[in-house]
Amino acid sequence: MSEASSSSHAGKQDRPQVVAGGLDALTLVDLIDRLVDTGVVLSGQAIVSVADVELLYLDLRLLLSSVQTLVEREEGP
Amino acid sequence: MIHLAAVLELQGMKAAEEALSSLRHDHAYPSKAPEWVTAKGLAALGTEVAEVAGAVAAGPSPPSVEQLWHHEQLVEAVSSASDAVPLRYGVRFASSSAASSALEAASGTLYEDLAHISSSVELSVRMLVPGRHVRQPSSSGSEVSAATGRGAAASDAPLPTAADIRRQASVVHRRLRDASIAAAPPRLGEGRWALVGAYLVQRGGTAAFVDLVGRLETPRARLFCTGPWPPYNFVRGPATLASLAD
Repeated sequence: MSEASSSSHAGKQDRPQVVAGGLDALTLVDLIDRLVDTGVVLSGQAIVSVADVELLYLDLRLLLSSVQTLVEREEGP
Repeated sequence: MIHLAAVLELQGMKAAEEALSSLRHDHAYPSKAPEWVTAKGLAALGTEVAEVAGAVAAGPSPPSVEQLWHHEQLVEAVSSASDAVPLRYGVRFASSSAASSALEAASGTLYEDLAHISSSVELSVRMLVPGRHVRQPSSSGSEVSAATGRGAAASDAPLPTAADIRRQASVVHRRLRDASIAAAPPRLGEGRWALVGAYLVQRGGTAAFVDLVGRLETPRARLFCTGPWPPYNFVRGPATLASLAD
C-alpha cells in the first residue's frame, strides 16, 4: 500500500497500516475486526491496556513487539 | 477442503494470477499455488486449508495471526489487480465442486457487490476518549477512572459526559459518512472506543479522507485511521457463501 509506513509486525510490510493517529498496533486490531467473525474463540486472546489504550491481541509474540512500539510512541523522544 | 479468500469477475483472473505470483517470494506463501473455482462468470480464489497454515487441522480451529495476515495478503494481491469481493477468514468447502455450487448460488449478490465496491477501498476510523476525561452525568464531577497524570486534561473546561462523547462521536461519523461513498453502521460506545467506523472511499480519495479525519480530531477525542482495507464491511455476497460453507 502506498500509505504504508514502517512496522514492527514481521511479514506484513505491505499490509494496511495506520494512516492517521499513530498507533501501529491498531492495524492488527482492525485486521481481526474484519477477518474474524464475532464469537470466534481466538487463540491466545488477551486484552491489555497500554498508556490507557485498550487493545486486543492474538499472539503474545506480537504483543511484546507491539507494546514496545506503543510505549516508545506514547513516551515520545 | 478448500478455503476461499476473494471473488472477482472471470476476466480479471489472469491479472490476479500475475499479482499473486509476486507473492511467491514471501516465505509465508503456500508451497502449492492457490486454485480457482469458477461459476457464472465469476472466479473465487481458494487455497487448500492445510497449505495456508502449514499444519492446520481440517476442522474449525482458532486462526493464528500468521493465518490471518496470509489471508489478507492473498486478498490484497487479488484486489490490486481487479475489483474483488473480500471474504472473511474461514469460509471453507469440502471440495472445489461444492465451492463452485455455492459461488453459483451467491452469484447475483456477488455481482451487486462488485458494482458497489468498484475502485474503492475501506478505511477504518476509531475515536478514543480517554476514560480519565469522562464525567458521570449523575456525579458531582468525579472522573470515571483515576487519572494517571500524563495526558490528563490541562484546561479547566468541563469534563465531557458520556452523552457528550456519544454526541461528538455521532457528529464525527456523520462528517465521515458524508465524505465517503458509503458508511457501515457505526459502533458507538464500545468499551473505550467512542466510535468504531468503516467507510468506503474511492482509491484516489484516501488522502483527502485522512486529511478530514485529522481535522475532526480534538485534544479530548483522538482519532485513529487504518487502511486501506479491502471493503469487507461493504459486501453481502460473502455472508451467503459462508452460509453454504462446511
